[in-house]
Amino acid sequence: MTHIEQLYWGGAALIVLWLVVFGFSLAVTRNGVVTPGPATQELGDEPESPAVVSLLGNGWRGVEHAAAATLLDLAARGLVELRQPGDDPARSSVHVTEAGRAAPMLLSYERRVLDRVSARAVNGAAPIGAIAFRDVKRAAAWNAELRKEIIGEARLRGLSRFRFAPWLVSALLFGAFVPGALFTVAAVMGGHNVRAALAVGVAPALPLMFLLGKSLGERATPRGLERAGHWAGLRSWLTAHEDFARLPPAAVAVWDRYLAYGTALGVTTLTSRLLGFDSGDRRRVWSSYGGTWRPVRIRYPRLRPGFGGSAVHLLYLASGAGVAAAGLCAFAVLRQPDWSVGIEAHSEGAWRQPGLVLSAGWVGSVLLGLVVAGKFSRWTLLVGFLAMMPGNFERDGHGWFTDAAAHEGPLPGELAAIVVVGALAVYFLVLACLERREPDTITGEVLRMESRKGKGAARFLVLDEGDTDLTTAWALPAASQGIATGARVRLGVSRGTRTIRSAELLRAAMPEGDRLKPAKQDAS
Amino acid sequence: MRASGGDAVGVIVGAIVAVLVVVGVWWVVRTYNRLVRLRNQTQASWAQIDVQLKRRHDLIPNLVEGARGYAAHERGTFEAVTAARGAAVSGELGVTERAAAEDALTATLGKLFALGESYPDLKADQHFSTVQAELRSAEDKIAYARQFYNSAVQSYHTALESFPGNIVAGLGGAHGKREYFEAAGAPQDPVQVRFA
Repeated sequence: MTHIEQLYWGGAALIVLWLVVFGFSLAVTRNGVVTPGPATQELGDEPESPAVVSLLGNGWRGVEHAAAATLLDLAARGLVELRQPGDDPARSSVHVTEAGRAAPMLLSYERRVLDRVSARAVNGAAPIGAIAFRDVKRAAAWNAELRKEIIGEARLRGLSRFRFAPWLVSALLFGAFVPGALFTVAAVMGGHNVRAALAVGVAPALPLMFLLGKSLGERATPRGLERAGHWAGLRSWLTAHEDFARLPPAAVAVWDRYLAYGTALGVTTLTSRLLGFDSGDRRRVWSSYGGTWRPVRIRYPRLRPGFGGSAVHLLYLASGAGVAAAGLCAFAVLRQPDWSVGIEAHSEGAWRQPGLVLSAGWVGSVLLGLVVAGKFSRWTLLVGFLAMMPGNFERDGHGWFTDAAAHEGPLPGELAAIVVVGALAVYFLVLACLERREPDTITGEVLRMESRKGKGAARFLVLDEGDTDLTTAWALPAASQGIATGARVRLGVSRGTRTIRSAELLRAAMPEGDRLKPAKQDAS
Repeated sequence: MRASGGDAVGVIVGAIVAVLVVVGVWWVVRTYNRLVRLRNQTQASWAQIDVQLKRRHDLIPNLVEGARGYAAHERGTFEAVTAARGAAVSGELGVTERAAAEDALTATLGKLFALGESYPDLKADQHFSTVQAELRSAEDKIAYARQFYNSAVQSYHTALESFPGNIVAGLGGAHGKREYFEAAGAPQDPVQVRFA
């Protein structure tokens, strides 16, 4: 065996060794089994906060519902108040009390939740639906910070610890690169250039680091397991009370901290659902623009033709649709029964396939239009191919394909397609002409902004103009900068395509906004 | 041998009837088990109240003895507390009677706590303060246990009175209603309003 082969084999052996050590570490550091205590209503003398209980209740994997549980805990302690004016719990509101404004000593994650509520409150109150974030990334970042703070508290109480000791993480991290180093040396000795050798060296480290990264987290301490057993007993107790699961957030006035712990342990489904600190419902957002909280319903025009298109793009679409309509029209007028494809069969003699001609003609016309409109892709080709398939199975001369082929002039279906595609061409043309007008000006608050699939696709921007409870998203061109949710802006828009042409920032998004934009920018 | 048309119809009808019977039995068993579970929950909730009440009863003699040393001539209050405690722990009281007895005990305890305001030495006594805090904690727990019990009773009654629980309860027997843990309270006189 040559030195180079020895190096390669040595690297492979080290990878196996690394995996064995890693697997052994996982086995050794796995969480112990929580032994559920007897069902009890006792919280204990110095109970952990509901947020920490959510970590324990979720097996140290996450802190689901911790924010909602913390808000309920704050309500139980009188720092905020949850009020339900009618029968619908979703219409409840949260009010920051005098005690809450006085900012007593709070744990960091409690402060975070209270600050979030205070930030959303207008005149000291906010609907519970308004607590949710309007931006997915911001919600994720906020919840990640919350999780860190809760884990910090759990560690401080001796309930949680790093899964792997720092020295073990360092050793595994270092060990992940050693096989690659051997491969690199072997590659260089084998005459490969340095870049290729480095690539060979890094390649094995990446999956190993991925494995390591996925397994990093928290695990229980013996005391943590004991406390988790106690809280499992409370969960059993609360679960046995059927009505408890359906309690609304305002019931905290009666059930105090039990509702918070029930939420943390995943027992109270209604409160968990209503008190969301995530990115919220994208089709229903609470807005305070205009001074009063109100729910605003949002429509996202996903299938609207020409949405977010520029004048050039619209002309292109119009020409594509026009070509398709013309192709269909020409085919319908010129088509003859003699165009049927003759095929020699093995035993039954020759037979013809009129369906193949028809479907090929129709599909070909549409594909031509798609090519011109720039919408042609391998998927449309596949759909076109599948659309032609019925023609291949038309064997005898009595099918509807044959009748259709023998028909003189356009078929009803062809006529409908020609009218629809032709109307689309005219529609795009009109939109392109309208794009040349001066844009309209609208003013309002940005409620949401979200990306759409597809490279270069315009983003959805939802603006509340304050005069309606139902709004339709605008198209913000992909090339332009984003606008923070909560910002008040003046937009220049084309109503036909619902495209934003220009944007002027009137008031930055505060305090939720994390991206302040220049005062004037061209969105086109 | 092939079955005739009439036999086939008979088999289908028989199969449908069998399925309906199985579903019906499953439904009855499920409803009955739910009633049993809810009934047991009321019993478990009552046991929690009982534990907390016993804890309170055990603390009261300590409190009375501690207070007697500072306010010996408040004998009436001590006797009232002792009598109320005795009434609360005596015999097999029903839920309503027990609730009334406990409420009476709570009222007399309030008078005992008030002594602390009249006698600064008593208020400053560490033992008295500790027992008083424990009693207050016990009363809080009793209040929550009471809520849980009443909630369990309410769920049980709802299941008993609504369909199909009302039918299954009648079939199974031993599914009587439970009493809420509520004191009868003093009868309220009409509110007098004076305009001048």
